[in-house]
Amino acid sequence: MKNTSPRLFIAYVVIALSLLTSMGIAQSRGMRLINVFSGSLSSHSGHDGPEHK
Amino acid sequence: MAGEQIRKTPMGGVKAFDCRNCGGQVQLLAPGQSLVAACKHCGAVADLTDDNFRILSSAAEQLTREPRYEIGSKATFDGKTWVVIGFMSRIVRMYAFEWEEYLLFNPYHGFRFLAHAYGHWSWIQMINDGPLAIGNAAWVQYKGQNFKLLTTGEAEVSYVLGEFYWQVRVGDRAQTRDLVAPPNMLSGEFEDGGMIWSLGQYLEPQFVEQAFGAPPKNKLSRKGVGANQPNTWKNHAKRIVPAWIISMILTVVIGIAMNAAAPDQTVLTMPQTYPDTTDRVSPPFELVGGSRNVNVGLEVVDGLDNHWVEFEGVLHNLETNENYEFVVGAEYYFGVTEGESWTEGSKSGDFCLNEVPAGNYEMVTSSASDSAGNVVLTVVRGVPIFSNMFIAWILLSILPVTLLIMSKNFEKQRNA
Repeated sequence: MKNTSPRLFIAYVVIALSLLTSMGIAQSRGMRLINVFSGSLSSHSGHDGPEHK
Repeated sequence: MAGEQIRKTPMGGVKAFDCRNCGGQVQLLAPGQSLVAACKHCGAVADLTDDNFRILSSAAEQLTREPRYEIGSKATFDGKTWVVIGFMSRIVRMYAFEWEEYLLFNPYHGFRFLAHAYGHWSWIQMINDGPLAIGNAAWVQYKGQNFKLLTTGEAEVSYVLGEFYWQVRVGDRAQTRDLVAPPNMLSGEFEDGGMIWSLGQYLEPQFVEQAFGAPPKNKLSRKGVGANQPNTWKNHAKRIVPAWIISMILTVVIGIAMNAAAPDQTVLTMPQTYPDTTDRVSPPFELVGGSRNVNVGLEVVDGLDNHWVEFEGVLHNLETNENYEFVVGAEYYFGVTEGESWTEGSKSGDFCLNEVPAGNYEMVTSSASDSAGNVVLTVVRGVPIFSNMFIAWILLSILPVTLLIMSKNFEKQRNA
């Protein structure tokens, strides 16, 4: 029987480590995890210009 | 499985005989070993220990069943060549469960069985060191493995073809007991007050095809789960569950440690009236540390009964002129419908801005509402975020939980 357990296990460990790293980054920057996944790690929700001034 | 132990001596030197029932010639594949042979022409079973090859049983039915691998077929298992010399079909009528057994012979290694049921194959060998008395035990240990009782029943021989080393007849019945430790299966049959045991091992269908060098006739796709079919979901889960538990613990540790380290510092508290379409500017305030979140909170002090309020605004960086926009609102409704009181919404709200750099800021807001009242706006630097921990838990659990559910369903089908 073809044993796919090691590959699936390795894939899971990689995913888990990525997730924990992302969570660590998110927590350290006070971000929501979803924002890390959506690629907003280096962006912000603001924009240039004093619109309300 | 193997029926009775050999008690009689087959006639030596006889390689073929004429069937007493139909006169057809029957060639023997294991001369000197077989005690009975079923005529391939009429299905009558002849006694090979008798000088006159007396008929033990006439064909119970027409020769309508075709073995998936014909009598005389050769297969290579464990590097040894085996010849199919016998084929029989057995049934447990209580469950209407029927399976096929192929008797294989090698002059140097004796007899083996190949069992087939609904597309599932097993390689079976008789053993003489099986468990002694198992009673109604749900578990039995054999050679360090725990075998779980799967089925008990009365197996009946429903069809016979070829040669056998015991005196098999259509209609022969035996109490059977199958215990499984996939891919292995211990099968016991009550004979003369004792148990005769055999040990089976699950074979993938393609392995059987390779052994015979050809696919079986009337090939069946696997139906359901084989009695001793390995549970691949369980094997996956066994590896992944420990990693899952460790990552869940790490998630808690990271989540708690980092939330505890979050500044969670209120840097501005600003009372406001609403509605007010004029931009109101707060006193300057400083955000310290690196790039962190900022939570703008709204708390209604008075009003907002069955109304809504919304504040639009920006955090304006006085040094870089960058603006960080937010919208924060609240709505609160209540009433009585059909005698039951209800409420909806709340008198508070918040908006979290991600990655706001350190610096000097001011907050600019305007508001809209369908009523008038007072609120307090707050700006909090570095609020803890617990939702990350729960989101991580959910994401980490998807695969292990799916595997556990699939494994459970697999075992349910095995027992079905």
